[in-house]
Amino acid sequence: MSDINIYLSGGGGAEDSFLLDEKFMNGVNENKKILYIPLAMETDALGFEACYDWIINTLSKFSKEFVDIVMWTNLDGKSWDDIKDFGAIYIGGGNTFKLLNNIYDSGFINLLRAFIDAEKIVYGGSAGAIIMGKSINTVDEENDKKYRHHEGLDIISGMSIICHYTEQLDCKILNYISKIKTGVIALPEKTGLFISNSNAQVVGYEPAYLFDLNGGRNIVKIGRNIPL
Amino acid sequence: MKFEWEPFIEKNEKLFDYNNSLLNFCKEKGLEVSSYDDNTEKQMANKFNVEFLSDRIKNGDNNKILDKPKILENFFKNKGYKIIEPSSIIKRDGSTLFTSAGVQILDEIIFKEEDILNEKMYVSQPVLRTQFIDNVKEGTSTSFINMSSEKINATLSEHFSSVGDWLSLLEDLGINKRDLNIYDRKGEPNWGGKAFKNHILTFFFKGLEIGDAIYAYDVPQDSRENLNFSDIGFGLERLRWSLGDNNYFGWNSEDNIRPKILDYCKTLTILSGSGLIPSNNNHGYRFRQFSKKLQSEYPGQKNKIKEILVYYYDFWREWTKFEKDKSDCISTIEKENERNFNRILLDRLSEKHSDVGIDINMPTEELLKRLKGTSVGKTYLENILKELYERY
Repeated sequence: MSDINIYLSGGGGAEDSFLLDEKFMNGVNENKKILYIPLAMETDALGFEACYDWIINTLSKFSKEFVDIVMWTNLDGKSWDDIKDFGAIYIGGGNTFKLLNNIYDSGFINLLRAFIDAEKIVYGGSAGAIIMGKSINTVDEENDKKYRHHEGLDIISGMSIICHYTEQLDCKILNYISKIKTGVIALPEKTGLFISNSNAQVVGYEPAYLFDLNGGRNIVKIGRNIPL
Repeated sequence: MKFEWEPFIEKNEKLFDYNNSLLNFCKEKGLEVSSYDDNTEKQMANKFNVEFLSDRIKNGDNNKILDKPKILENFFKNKGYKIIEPSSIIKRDGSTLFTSAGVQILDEIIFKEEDILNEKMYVSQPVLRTQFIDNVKEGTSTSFINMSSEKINATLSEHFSSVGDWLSLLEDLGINKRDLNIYDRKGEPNWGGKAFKNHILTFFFKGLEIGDAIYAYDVPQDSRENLNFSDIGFGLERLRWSLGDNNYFGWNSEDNIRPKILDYCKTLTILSGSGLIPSNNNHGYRFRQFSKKLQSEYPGQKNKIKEILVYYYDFWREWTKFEKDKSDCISTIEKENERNFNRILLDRLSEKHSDVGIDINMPTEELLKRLKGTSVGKTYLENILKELYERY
């Protein structure tokens, strides 16, 4: 695995992901131009305006300098030239299937992979985090429009991700593992992961949970690493 | 109708007969409505390219309806609408930091569950839409006047009656309904955590999208039954442009200023005039963002920029009240522009000189004086300045 720089948040609000966001913004210190993709959201023009306001408020507070945040609501026809100058890409939450299928159908999937391979920084919040796993069928209830694609970017050693984790999801996760045969990293809303150097470090206020192929639930405390 | 009717009563959905009402409305008005699909925008864009620019309406005095808010207000007043003063573009609560649509005059009712107003309302609302900030061109801007009619808990009959009022306005402007393409679709937007459903009619005139009529329902409320509302809005500048204005941005000088420059100046003027101060976060972030983009597109150029800012100050003042007078509004923008020009200049100089870490928060003239105490040579500085000024 090349050295990647991926931040994944469990899907809570700005207060829940404060520590992860802070770490992310320290990471993008040298080039404060960030691409924001809110396409998981089911919304309209007014809703996207609110998304843009939200991301500016969430990230700009970590910097004394101006943070140039660019929002794209259409990925069609984008090229490497369009994204190469960004220091980071932030992919927001919403419907995971809508997001992933948009990324595949627009061809942006190849750019995103290239961006990650170039060791640039990517942040995934909730749906944006889940698409980094092997499969997004951990949230198959979100496939409300017969979306075709369910294969994630698979950058976490063959494991899948689930966000907004609570113990009520245990049965669902075990069912998923028995069918898909992949491990699952479960992130509560107050938990994040920083993936780099073949490790996934738990960042935030609560532990992460690693469900192995035998159905075992392993607690990974804050600051500890999940080896990848 | 070309419409493929879907079953209009859906499981767990509020029962009402939107599609039948639309069908009756179209029959009465002699309109055709098509289903909006993935190809609609492309089809309309092609139609726009082929027909629009060579075939504008030359309807003389009709265009004057759009010159002053009073004329539009009288049109709607005569049809029984309550005329609402436009809100400030800077919002202190609600789902967005800035007013982005006329429908936001309903924010207090939708988000704070304040008393429901029974009247149908009209507002000529200046709005800011920043999602297209990097795609500005003729016909697409980040700030414009959103002419809007609104009605809380409108019946379908009231909603389509309002759609009829707007069609009358278009007719008075000289727009023949046969030149309209109307598309219907359903949406499930989410405004500030409130997810609801709507039916949207989008109106295209010769391929150019000019407005939409939205019937929204099941808008969540905590203390009372969920709301519905009728929200119909048309873009003033797009209508003017489609009716024969040569320049979407209204700037008819022969100096060939690019749309992005005009747009950034237009938006900076309403932000500054409304009392906003630039900063690195919250509302002021947008001020700085637009000024930086303006300086990147058109570095320096103080005199021409001032001319454009004055033009847009006068434009906005026709449509809204400002907190700042013209001189104060423009000097705040100029100060921020200088700061951001200084940043561009120092970034350029720092490619070859390491001792140019000077504070950018000062007039450019002062910064140039301070550069004399650095390793930057006079000729090199002059060449860089020339290069920046001639970038346009």
